[in-house]
Amino acid sequence: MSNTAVQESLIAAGGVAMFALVFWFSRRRKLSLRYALGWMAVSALLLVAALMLALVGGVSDSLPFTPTGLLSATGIGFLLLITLQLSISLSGHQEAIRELSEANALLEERLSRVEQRERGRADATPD
Amino acid sequence: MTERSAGLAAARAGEVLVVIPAFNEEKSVGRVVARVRALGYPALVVDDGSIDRTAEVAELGGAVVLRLPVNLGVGGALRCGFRYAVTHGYRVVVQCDADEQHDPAQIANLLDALYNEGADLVIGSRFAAGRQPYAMGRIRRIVMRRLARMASRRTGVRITDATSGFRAIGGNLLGAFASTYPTEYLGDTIESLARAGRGGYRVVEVPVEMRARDHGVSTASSLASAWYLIRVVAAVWLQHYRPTGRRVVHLTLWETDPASGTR
Repeated sequence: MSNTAVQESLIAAGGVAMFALVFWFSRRRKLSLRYALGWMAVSALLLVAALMLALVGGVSDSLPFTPTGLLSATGIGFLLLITLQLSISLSGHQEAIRELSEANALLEERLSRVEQRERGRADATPD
Repeated sequence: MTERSAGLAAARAGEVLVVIPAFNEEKSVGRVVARVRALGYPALVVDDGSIDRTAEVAELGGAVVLRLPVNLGVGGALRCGFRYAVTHGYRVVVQCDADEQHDPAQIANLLDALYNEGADLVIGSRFAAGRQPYAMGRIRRIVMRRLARMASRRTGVRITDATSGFRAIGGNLLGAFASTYPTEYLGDTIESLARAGRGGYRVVEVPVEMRARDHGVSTASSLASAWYLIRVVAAVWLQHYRPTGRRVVHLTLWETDPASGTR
C-alpha cells in the first residue's frame, strides 16, 4: 500500500469511529442534537477529506503548505471555532443561571411572606 | 449630619431601601442591619450564596433577606436587590457593605445629595476633599487613581472614588440598573458608573468616612489590583460598543399589603 493509501484509510477510519461515537452519545442522550449534528458534520468532513486526499495535495501545492500542514491547520482552525462556540454557549448559560438565581431568591422571599400571612390567618380563625 | 438632613432623610425613608449584599459576613451583618433599622430605613440583605449563618443573622436583626442559591458576586447580588426594590415600589436604593466599612449614619448625606441636587447616582467617596482614609498599598492607590480618572471621563463629573460601594441610586437609573446592571465580576464598580454616564444620568460625589475592613478578605489586594485594572479597562471599553437597548426584564409590581405594614 502506498503512503497516501495508508493515510487515506487512517483518516477514513477516524471519521467512521468518530461518527459512531457521536451517534452513541447522542442516542444515550449525553449529547444534544444541536452539538451531535455539528460533530457528525466533522466526521463526514473527515471521510470526504480521506477520499479527496489527492485534491488536498493539489491545493497545498499552490499554497506555501505541505499537505499534512494544510490538513492540520484546517483541523486546528476548526477546533478553535468549536471552542469559541462553546465559550459563547457557556456565557449564555452563566447569564441564564444568574437570572434564575435572582428570580428564585425573589420568589422564595415572596413565598415565605405569603406563608407567614397564611399562618397568621389560620391562627386567628378558631376551628 | 445636620438637623435638616436628618429630617429630610426620615421623611423620605418610606421610599428608600437599604440594600446590603453579603457573602459570609455573619460576624458583622447583624450590627449593620441593626444600625440601618435604628435609623428608620428598611434593610434588604442579599445573601450571595453564603456558607455561614449570614441570612439567619440578618433575618433576626429585622432585615428582609433574599437568598441566592449560588454565589453571583456583588454585581448579581445588587441587581437582585434593585429588582426587589423596583417590584416593591421603592424609589431609591442605598447600597451599603455588610462588613461595617460604611457607616449607616452617613446614608442621610447620600440622600441629601440625591434629593437636593436631583442626582440619579450619588457616590460616597473616601477621597473627596483630598482625604487619605486608611493605609493602602502603592499599587492599589495608583490603580484607584487611574480608575477615578476613567470614571470622571465617562461621567463628566470629577470622581475621586470610583470603587466605592457606598452609593445611592434613584430616578430612572434604578429601573435601568434593575434590568441590566453589570453582573460580571467586579462590574459593580466602574462599569456601572460608565453606564450611568453613558445613559446621561446625573452622577454626584459626596465625602464620607470609611473604615478599613475588620472581617473578611478585601476583594482588591495589592497584586490583584493590576489584573483588576486590566479587566475593568477592557469591560468599560467593550461596553462602549455594546448596544444600549438590551433585553428588558419584566418586573411586575408585586402585591403590597398595607394592613400588614410590610411591603
